[in-house]
Amino acid sequence: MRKIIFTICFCLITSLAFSAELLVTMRTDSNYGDIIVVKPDGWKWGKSEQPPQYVVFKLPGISEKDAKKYEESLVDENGEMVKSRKYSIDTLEVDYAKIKVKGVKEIHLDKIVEFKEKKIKDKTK
Amino acid sequence: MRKLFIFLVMMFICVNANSAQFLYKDVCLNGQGDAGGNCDYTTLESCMNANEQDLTGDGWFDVEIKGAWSGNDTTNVIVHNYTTTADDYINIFTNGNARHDGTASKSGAYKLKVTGRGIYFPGGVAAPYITIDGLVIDITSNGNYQHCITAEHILNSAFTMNIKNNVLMYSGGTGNGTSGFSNCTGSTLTGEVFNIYNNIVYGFDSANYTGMYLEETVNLFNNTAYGCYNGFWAGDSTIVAKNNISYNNSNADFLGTFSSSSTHNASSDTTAPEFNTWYDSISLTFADAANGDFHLVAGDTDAIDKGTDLSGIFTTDIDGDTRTDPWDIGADEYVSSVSPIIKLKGDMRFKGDVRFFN
Repeated sequence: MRKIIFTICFCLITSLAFSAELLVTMRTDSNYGDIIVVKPDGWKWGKSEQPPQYVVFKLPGISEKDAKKYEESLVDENGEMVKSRKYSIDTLEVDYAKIKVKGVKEIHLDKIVEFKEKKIKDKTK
Repeated sequence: MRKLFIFLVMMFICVNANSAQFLYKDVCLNGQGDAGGNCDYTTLESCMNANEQDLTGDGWFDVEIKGAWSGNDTTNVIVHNYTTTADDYINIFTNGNARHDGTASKSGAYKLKVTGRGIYFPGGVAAPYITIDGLVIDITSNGNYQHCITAEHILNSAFTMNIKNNVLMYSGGTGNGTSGFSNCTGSTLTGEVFNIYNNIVYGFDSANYTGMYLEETVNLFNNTAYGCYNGFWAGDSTIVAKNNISYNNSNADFLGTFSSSSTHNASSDTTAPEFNTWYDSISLTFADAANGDFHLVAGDTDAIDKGTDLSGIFTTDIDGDTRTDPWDIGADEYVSSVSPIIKLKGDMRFKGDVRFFN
């Protein structure tokens, strides 16, 4: 029993120590759900960094440093930007988060979608 | 009487029809320094992203970065999807505690410290009318073509980009072609103007790095480049350089052919553009160059009072000191730190705001 409690405490502490928060835009259809900014857990966001422009997600179990890659743009082989963000959050999760009244919604890695250049090309066909 | 009243109403309408501030947003850390606890945004990127819009006919958009910053802004800034005009432009500036003092090390000053591009105007689209004033931008990446301010391959369109009073630096590893500012276009633009005043750029010291790489119509006035591979590199002969110091750059202080209108530029090697007045093989000390302090000191007589008067365009230096005639060259106007001796004798009474200047 003591071992279980110890394990639960360890997991809790670990998840708190290694969490990031994601600022996700809801502003336009074309970038709805894009991850714009990554900050450490507990960040004091600004008054405009909330609905209707943005929604914040908590990403447990990953440090800000490791989550920073979700700010990357999608670029072509010449380094030119194709899309301002490569990663976004599943739109259903965003829909749910924006009507959540209190607190920050947690999200897991499987809800992060990576755009591929091919997808964008397909869209323009 | 009625006519006078109508005239006054018309005057009021006309005056107010002129362009005015349309939008104001602040960027700060909640509760830090003079920021209070009610910031609009906590990164420049979240601000620029959220406010993308057509400003035409509305007035300008002020983005004030304020408050004391206990950490760096680490998110790359992409400026696009704005429509602007000469009257309806974007104005990004630091103020109060967030404003640097001419160095990158002032406690509390805002610093955009990023891997990759700092402020990026994407290629293939029009650049906006914009002013970037008083930022410290530090690039830490070892990727290629990662500039503090990048305006490369932008679409041919009319715009004015004012880049003034910034500290642009590099603290990363090796790469290729990184610089403090680059507007490499690969084509000829029409109607664009880049005004680059009072900036300090340093540390771009790996091979093929450059303090600033410049093309198109550029007014490069009173900037200082130090410790780069190349200091200022003119890709076109339309670069008008005046009052610039380029010093201790390993390949060349000035590279390329500058406009023949250039004047009063100075280099530690022999590459200062040889038009009108120029100074080469100069010797300067600076306040503490090893630690990024490029303020002039009293002994820097190769720069002090050696410039041409540009007061018709701007009147202060990188940290807000008033430029006095004859102007100094470089981003800093030397101000003596020796306190003036004021001797007062007899019965004197002062009331209100009394100031003494040396």
